[in-house]
Amino acid sequence: MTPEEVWAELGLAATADTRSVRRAYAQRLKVTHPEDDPEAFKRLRSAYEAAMAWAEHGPKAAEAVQGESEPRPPSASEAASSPETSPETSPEAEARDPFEEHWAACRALIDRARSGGASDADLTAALDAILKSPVLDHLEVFQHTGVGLARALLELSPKADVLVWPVLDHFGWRRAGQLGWASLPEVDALRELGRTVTDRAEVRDTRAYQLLTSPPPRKESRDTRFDRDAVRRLLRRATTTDGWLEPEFSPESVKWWKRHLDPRLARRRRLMVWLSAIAGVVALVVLASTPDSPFPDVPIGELTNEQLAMKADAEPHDANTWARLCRMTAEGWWRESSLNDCDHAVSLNPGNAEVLLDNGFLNIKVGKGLAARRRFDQVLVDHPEHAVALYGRALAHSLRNELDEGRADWCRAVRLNPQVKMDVELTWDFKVDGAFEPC
Amino acid sequence: MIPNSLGHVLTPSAVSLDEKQNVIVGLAARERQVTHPELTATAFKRYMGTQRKVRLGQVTFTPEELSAVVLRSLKADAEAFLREPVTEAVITVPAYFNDKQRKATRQAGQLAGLKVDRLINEPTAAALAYGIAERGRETRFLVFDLGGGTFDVSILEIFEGVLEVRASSGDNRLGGEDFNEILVARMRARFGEALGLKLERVDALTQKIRDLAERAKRALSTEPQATLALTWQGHREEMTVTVDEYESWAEPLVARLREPVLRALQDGRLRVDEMDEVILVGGATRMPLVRRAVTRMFGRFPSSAIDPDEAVARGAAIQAGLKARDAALDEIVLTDVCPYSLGICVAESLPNGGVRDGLFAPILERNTTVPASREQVFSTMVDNQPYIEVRVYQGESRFVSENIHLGSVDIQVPPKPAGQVAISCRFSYDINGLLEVDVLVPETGERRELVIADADVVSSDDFAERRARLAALKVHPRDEQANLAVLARAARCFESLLGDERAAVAGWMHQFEAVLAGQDPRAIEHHRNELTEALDRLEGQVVL
Repeated sequence: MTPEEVWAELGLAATADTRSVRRAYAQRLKVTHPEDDPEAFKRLRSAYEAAMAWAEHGPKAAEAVQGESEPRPPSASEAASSPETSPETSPEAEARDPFEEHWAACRALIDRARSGGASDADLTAALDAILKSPVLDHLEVFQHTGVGLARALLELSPKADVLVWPVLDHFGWRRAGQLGWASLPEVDALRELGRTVTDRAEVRDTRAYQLLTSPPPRKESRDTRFDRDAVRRLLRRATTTDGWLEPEFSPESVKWWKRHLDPRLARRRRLMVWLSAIAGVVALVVLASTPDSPFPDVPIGELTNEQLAMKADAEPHDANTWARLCRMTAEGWWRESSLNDCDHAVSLNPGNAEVLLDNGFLNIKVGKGLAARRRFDQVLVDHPEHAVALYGRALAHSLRNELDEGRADWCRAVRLNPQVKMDVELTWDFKVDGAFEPC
Repeated sequence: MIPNSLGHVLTPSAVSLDEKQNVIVGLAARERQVTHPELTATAFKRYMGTQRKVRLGQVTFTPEELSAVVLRSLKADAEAFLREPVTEAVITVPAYFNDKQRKATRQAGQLAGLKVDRLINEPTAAALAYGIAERGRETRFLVFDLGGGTFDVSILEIFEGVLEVRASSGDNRLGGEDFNEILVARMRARFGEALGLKLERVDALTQKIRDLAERAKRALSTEPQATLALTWQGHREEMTVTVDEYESWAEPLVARLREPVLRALQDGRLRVDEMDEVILVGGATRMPLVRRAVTRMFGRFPSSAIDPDEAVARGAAIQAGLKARDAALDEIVLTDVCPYSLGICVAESLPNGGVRDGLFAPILERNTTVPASREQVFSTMVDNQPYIEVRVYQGESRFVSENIHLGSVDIQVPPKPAGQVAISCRFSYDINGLLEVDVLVPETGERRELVIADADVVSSDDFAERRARLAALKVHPRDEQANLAVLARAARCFESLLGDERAAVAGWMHQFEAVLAGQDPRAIEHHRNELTEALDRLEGQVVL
């Protein structure tokens, strides 16, 4: 509807006076009854909404309405100011003492958090007292307190992060995704902060974090590939998205692990083992078995993704190369034939749980629930208690909308390994919203 | 308001069969819930629109059929009062009823031989009852409707003869029954051990406990404490509950009342102090603790201008008048909203090359004034995708798995690279709250219309058959209904009492049955009143 059509429909000259817009709408409504002529009513209604938006917010908002996606309503709480800046906005604040006290307590809490002197326990206790106050029953006080606290916590972070989840819980904001009261911009931001707080706590709980914060191991430990991958990811995360991690690591440990993960050193180390254990002949045999390779003497770990793909294409029967390719693919590197590549890797490495998992998570990432489930099932045949495989199968179920089975797997996986979610995120580099929580 | 055959204006939604397969409806049926649980059905409204069947003795009913039986009895009451046939009806439904539930309700009306002119949302009906008296003013008010099983909040505005619903929200799993369940759970914990029974296994006992809880809840509205006395197979167990205890148990329920109110205010872009009035509707708002919670939430006393039990029925009657363009209601136009968002399931590509499926894309946002149509365009995700499945959901979550699935339709699309084929989805929501979905592929002109709940729609033959089956059910003559109700009540008392009181009830029942056999209408009426009074003395007045 063009502005001209809007005003013509209402039989009115353009006006910012909402009263006359409403009067015009009401008069037209009597002859354009929604019962008799739904289509005419729909036209009248859109004209009315556009005209009201124009009258209230100016011409820009009116255009947005015509696009049939309404502008985000300015919420009551946005319009009102937060408690710490002007507590008088509550109608009762002047007349009644308990309201004054309530706002004073809010201000005191925020000041204490800002000064940084109070312990987490003190802050939590102070918040508890505020949330128990009977004046919070009044909806307006409830709204202002909630939004005010949300703003304060965002501004103070990380000083009062311990209060983020209690506030989210008390004001009914825990559940993401619901529209309405829980979707104010402050609340979205606070929920994001809550997730960060939880994420950090979860990261601090992982084995990789513990390895990187404790002193470096004295000698070559018999670490698993899983540990190595997890540490590698966490180190990468610290230098890219999560700068907060770096200061928490032990510098010696970081140095040790960087050296340990270096592919050239790893090769040297392996060579030492080879040399001391078996004769050099064996090494020759190994090299000789891949004479056509474009990268005959470069270890897999040093290849770029593109080189790795070329090597794989040149050596269609080399199980290691294909397993590696599948892993890179599952981590997010993509080429046209990736799905087939990864299936090929599985056929070359029958029964290898790592490759099956890579394949499974790749399928999850592209949304193929059934194929993914088959891979995880294969892992679970040999390792019925494999938390990562169970977790993967839960995701596969959830893609197929089999929520009950999904929940069962998810809960079992989390029981077997509470860090499974974080492990999967670090290894395969993708995030999952807690689809099945709580168990 | 038209009274039923017992002279009451409220008829409980209860259906029971007697030993001769006669149908009993209303209060008498509800009394039989305790004595004949296997032959009695109540609270079937919450199963409307589902495939669930209810078995009464040898006969199986769908929830629609049970509702139809109740509607038929109401129809008979109205016809007896008006002395002319009644053929059309306006039926109220909870605002949160979804499309399937609305269709089932409409079908129940048809099965009862009524043309269902209009389905109207209950809080809107209540608002109409209130608003019609205020139509001269420009005013804004909030209707707080806490019924037996659902909680609805609506904000309305009156201006220039227009009664406009600004926003509706609610919680369809919160109602007066939840306030009973608190007591039921406590009784189970307390008595279960003493009676050495798995209480939930025994139907009759469950009903009895529910009945006790209901009475205690009502007592606690006026008394500082209530005693729950359970008699079962000769044992008597007692527990006493004080108001303070009860209210502390109910606190989590009271806290749940807040969110829907906040949501309605936010959707209506209104502040608490912009409400001129707060109207309480629904039997559960008689509870002092609910009234107190409302008072605290809004910082003002709620209005008691209308009777919370009758407001919805009055509103429905006014709606019927509006529909018929009754001269007395001239110049009033009502507009309602669609209380929930409607949309389809979509997938999105992630930056890392993955795909996330199962996301909800709302097309018709909640609290849009109806009738309304909205259209959105979507495109294919995969190269040479042969068809697109359009899955329609209702709800407010970003993930379809948490919303209600209403139906699906497949539409063929021409083979092309991903993202290059567009389909447009048009949602139309009509004034009765029924949804039409129209899917179009502009490129080929292919069009599909989605009929929601396709599998549930019965063929017309089947429909006629079901209607005939219901019509064949025998009903007690109207003038016997009152006798039936009082006898059913006495039977229930007999079961729950011990000793002298029990013997007394047995005596009264024998006496009354003898009078009934005499067939003298005046003697029967006299004795019936006496028996009612005696039972009132024994257990307090009957609650509707």
